[in-house]
Amino acid sequence: MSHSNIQSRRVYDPLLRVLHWGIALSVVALIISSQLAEAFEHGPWESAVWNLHILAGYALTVALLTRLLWGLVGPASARWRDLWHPATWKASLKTLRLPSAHRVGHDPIASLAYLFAYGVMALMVVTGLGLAASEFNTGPLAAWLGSAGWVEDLTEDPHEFGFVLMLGFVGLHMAALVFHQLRGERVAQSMVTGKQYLDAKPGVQHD
Amino acid sequence: MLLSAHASADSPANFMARYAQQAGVAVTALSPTRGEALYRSEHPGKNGAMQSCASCHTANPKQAGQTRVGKRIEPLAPAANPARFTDAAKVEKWFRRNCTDVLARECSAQEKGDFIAFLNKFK
Amino acid sequence: MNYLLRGIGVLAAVGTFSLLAFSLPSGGEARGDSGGDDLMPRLAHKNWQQECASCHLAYSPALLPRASWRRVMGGLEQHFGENASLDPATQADILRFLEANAADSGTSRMGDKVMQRMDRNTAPLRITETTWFVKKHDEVPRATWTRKSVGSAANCAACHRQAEKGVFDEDTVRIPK
Repeated sequence: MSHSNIQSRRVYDPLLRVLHWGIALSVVALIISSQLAEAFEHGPWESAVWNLHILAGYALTVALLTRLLWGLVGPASARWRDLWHPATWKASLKTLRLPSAHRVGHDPIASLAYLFAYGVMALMVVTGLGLAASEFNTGPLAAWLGSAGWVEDLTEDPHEFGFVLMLGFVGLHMAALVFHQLRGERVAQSMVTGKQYLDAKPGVQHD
Repeated sequence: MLLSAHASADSPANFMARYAQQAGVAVTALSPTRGEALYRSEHPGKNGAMQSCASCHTANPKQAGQTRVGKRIEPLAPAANPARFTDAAKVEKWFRRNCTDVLARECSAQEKGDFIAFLNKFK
Repeated sequence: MNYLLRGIGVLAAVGTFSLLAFSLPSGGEARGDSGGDDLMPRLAHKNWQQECASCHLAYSPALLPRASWRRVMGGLEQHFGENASLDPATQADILRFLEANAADSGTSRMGDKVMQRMDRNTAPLRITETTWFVKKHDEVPRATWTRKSVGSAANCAACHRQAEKGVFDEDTVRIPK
């Protein structure tokens, strides 16, 4: 890695970064509250902790909805297109190598993991709102699905499976951060300052 | 002995007198010993196990018992539970139910009289 | 800046939508049912409370459909192995009350929940046989039910410590050793 011709570029807009941290905080709050609620099962705090879990779920819902729209009308680095690199994925699958060059915006391979995470979070939000309605008779779907047994049967297992997938993503995300840090690649700041450090040489764009 | 028509005015002594009359014997002919034997006699139950009055009401009628689903039964002995044997409809209902359950037949007036005589003996 | 306006637009759209969605009254409040979802409908009926509760908890009529209550009240001479016979007037009075408040009478949310999980053509005799009950207690190991301190699944109050008051909230559950 030559650092001589590395230059910083402001890539990610403030709303995207705020959304990143909003989603991250909601997910952490959701994971902690779900585990606390299970620990307090049958205890006096259980329903209070589940209420916190439901509120954190609303926050995640709002953040994801905003992200969804921002991906449609926001700047280039926030667009869904910035996460969609089928050509690079195919090439990497053929050569079984990671693409060597970096591009402005989301990394093509990491984007796969991000799309996966958005999918899982969408599943969690949908099944979570279903559970809030069917099991707790609360939330926006309660008037429609309030205490509907079949919804609880249908959403309980996917919600718990999604939890495992989400833990997997968080683990991978953190591991990748450490990996890049160890390789001397500065990626951690991108969601703080919005800056990316890239080769000055323009060129290799993987899509 | 004057038989009261009003249920709440009933007492164990009233019931003994009434059952003795129905059985055609004197009140003094009612036997606490026979009553106790009835209370403790074991009979094959529906699930094969032996059962008696004491199965639910416990060996000591002054103690609270427990129904099959775990609900408390107030003591049978009037000394421990003054509400016992004060309501004719209730007394008849439970003799009818429990005699058919435990003995697989109704109890005779004499048996009912003996039974109350036994319970009334507790102080 | 164009994106500033777009950002404000997106936030306004999501904000408005969320305010509308998350402030919708929940089903329970709309229905006028107070309390949590584990609260039995509050009912009072002298004969039901006196007669049924002399041997067991006065199980809520909302836990079985009308057809089940007709079967139960039609077979009191052999009521789960015990003679629970009543005089005809009391029996008819209690059945009327049970039918009026049964799970399929549409009078309680508890009843609706029980019916949502029930095949309409069945009329179970035991509350513990309803899919609703089984699902609600699926985390309780089988061996727990037969513990001496519990006796059987019919003994609600063994674990639901406020069952007599109609409170079945999970907070009030203490499973005895």
